[in-house]
Amino acid sequence: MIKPQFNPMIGPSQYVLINMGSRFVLCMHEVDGVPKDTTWPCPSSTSLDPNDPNNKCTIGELCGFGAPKTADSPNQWFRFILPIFLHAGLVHIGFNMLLQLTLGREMEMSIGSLRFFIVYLSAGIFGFVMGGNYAATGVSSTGASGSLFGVIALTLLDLLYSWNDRKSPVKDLMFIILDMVISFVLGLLPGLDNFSHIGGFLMGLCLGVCVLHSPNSLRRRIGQDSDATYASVETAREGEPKFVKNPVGFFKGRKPLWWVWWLIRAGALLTVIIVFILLLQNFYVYHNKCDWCKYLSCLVSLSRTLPEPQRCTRRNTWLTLFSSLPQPINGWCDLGNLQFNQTPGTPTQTSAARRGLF
Amino acid sequence: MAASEYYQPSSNRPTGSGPSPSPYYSPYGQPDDRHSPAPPSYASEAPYPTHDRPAQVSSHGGPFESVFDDHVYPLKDPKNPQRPAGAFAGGAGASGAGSGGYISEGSQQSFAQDTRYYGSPPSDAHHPGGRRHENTFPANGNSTDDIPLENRPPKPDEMHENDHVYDAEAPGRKKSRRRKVRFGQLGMLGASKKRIPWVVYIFTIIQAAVFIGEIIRNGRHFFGQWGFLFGFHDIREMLTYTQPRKPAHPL
Repeated sequence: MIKPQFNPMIGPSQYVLINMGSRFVLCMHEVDGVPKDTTWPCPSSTSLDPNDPNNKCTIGELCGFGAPKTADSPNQWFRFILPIFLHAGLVHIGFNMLLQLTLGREMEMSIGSLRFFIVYLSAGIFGFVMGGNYAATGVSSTGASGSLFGVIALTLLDLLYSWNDRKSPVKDLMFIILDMVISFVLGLLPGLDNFSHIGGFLMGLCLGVCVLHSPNSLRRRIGQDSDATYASVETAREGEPKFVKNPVGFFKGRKPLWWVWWLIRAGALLTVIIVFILLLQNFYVYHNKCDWCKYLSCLVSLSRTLPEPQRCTRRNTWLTLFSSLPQPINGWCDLGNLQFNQTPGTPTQTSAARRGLF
Repeated sequence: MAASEYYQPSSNRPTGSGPSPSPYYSPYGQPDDRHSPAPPSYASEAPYPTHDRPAQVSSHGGPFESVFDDHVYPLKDPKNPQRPAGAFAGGAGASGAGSGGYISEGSQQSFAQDTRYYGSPPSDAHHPGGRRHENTFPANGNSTDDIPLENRPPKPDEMHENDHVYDAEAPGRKKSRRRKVRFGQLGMLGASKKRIPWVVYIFTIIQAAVFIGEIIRNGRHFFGQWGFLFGFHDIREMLTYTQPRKPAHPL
């Protein structure tokens, strides 16, 4: 919990988390500007001393999962999926499970397990894809927050779909907005990856339009309200031809509004697929960076200068990952960026990574 | 509505014998001797062509001589006083019969003496097959009034539930007055269906198990293979312990 540095989430060190599968870009593809002879803290590292033998692992050793112990970054694509099940600490898992067992449970009971499963996983994965593309390179990210933001997006859609059926829809909307604002503000803290939240929310919105039933008012007009339940895949809705049994009949006799809504659904699905593919392309091939994007996950520094320890010196070659605590707020938005200071002199001297963000 | 409308008998009430009356509502007072389907003054029963509808009619085609005429027609079959006098007798609520709701069969009894429209008994010979010719008292199928489909079994048709009911809701709105969704509840149609949220439970279990695994792994890394419970004499030793670089045991 406290080695090599204090984890405010009351959890394992982030190198353990990286070793167990967190989203860490260096374990997924090569990053420009990282020297090959860089050494990293091992998962068992307990200090930030560069000379500690425990801080002289290669990237392959740090990443684990059978990666060759060379200096090449492995291609561990599953680091988009595994972190959904990893959490950085008690505080992290506590909040997430609280949300999951209340909101998530209700939502799954409302829409059914299959739909919930699809949205949960997609939102989580997309959140990490977003983070992989636009978060700082040294950030190691875990948590089910992306998935849970997808569920929050479903809740928002539910509110919008049943607006006229509610006693106080504006109150509900305010509550959801407050929820999102608080989460976004918390995500600006160092150590929390807002891109996971943002990506999960966007994916939840688009996928929600795809997989949820039409809005209540639309369903009533089309005439589906009498048996308006999310029937399981196996049971047919009353009076409506089941798609699997009668694919052509499924489309017969449908009203225009039904077609319109299906068109919207198809558009949303297409958008989601295209954006997902583009982001993956960007992640693995193009590496286009977004200079301002990091400000979505950090607070802008008020000071113009960086504190002394982060400035390059002419003495050593060392890799610096800015620490999270107890550094001042200055340079907050530079936290998590991998920075390298190289000087001529002792090229054979290896360096050790300082702490990183999680 | 014109008072005359109340007294115009419904088309679904065939009379017993005689020439076909003009049972159809004719706003212009013209007798209508054509045999054509009646306009559905009540949507309850499908109008059907009334052919050869004999009845005692006045000169203008109706059974009443004037709008103020309210003869007491004798009951056709005193043995069957259960005659409900049809669904429409006294049921012309829309035109101000004075009753506020659907008039049940029981209450028809009091009207039976007063508001019978077709007094003459039907002659079965005049009515070829193809439709039921009801008698006045359909309870045993022997009524003299030729009221078709009088004894039909009640159909569970919500379209007609609200006939003769004042202030009834429009038909076809089965659950139109749902309870409003309260604050914090999910409101999609079907949200109240009870299911077991398998995915949430399974994922929660997986995440909790993985987290415990993280803690154990973290402990192993820092405090040796056998965990941090072993081999330390005090907290300081535990906290300052540094694992050797190349442990002989796998993690």
